[in-house]
Amino acid sequence: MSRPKPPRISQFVWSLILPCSIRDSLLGDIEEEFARIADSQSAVRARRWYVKELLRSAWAVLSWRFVTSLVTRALLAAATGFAAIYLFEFIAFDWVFGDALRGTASVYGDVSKVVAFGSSELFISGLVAGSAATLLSRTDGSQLWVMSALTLAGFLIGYSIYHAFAMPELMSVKLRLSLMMLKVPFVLLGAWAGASMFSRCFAPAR
Amino acid sequence: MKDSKPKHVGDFEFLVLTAILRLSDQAYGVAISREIEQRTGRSASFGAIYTTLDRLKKKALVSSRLGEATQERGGRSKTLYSVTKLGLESMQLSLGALRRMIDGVEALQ
Repeated sequence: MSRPKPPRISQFVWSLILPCSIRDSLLGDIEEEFARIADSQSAVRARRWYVKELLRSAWAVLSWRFVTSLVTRALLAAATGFAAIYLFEFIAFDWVFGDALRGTASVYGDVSKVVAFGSSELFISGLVAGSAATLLSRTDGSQLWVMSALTLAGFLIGYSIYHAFAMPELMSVKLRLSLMMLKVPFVLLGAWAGASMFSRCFAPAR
Repeated sequence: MKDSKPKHVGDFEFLVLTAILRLSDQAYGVAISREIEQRTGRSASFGAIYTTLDRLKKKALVSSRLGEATQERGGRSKTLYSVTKLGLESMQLSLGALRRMIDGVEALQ
């Protein structure tokens, strides 16, 4: 009688999610354990174990791949940096200066915007410095960061909608580019903070 | 250059390192997982074992080499792990900290 084989579909899924560095060893380990269960118990139990093991391991492997991949870390970090900046622009521009600026067209001009955006950049630098201090400390701030990330995401969505529909006609391309350049160092700092935050929140259990 | 100072290890990392030491030259994924489950009752997925091993390797706390390929493994080689000198020092650092913490705690005596 031929030896039972692990489910092909599961093997295919494994080969998709596993990084090359451990693929052979891990698949070999799983096949060895599958054979042991099939011999000592039954093929049905072995197949059940195989699928269960795939599901159990998927989260650990996927989050590990995500955390250790420079590309995904950088993308997530940049997104976090932008989210943080937009949050503070939103607070400074819309909440603090918003009512006054909306009053007349003359003050609702580029200079006022630069002042408003400039002050928001100061806020964000404070935030990033605070974040860096938190991340460098040995205390576990993961819960705080999860809440902060959710809040930032909410604000980002809200502000993006506002930005898309209300802002484009009010700002010159040159000013937009200048503001973008101003943001670069803050985005980089935010990127680093975001990457650290992500690796702390979602890294596999230590 | 890699930092060669011993560093504290997490609890699961500590279990994996201890299992490797116990298994000596037969420490690979299946054996490590079995050893941890038998001695602690903690069932760890292979994914968790391998992500931990990868982290330990990056910290230079373990080293690896390829073992033999067998038919029951589908012709795939084993990766055998061993604890490095830095790994041993890191374990001693963490164990020392734990011992000092529980020393004199009556509820744990």
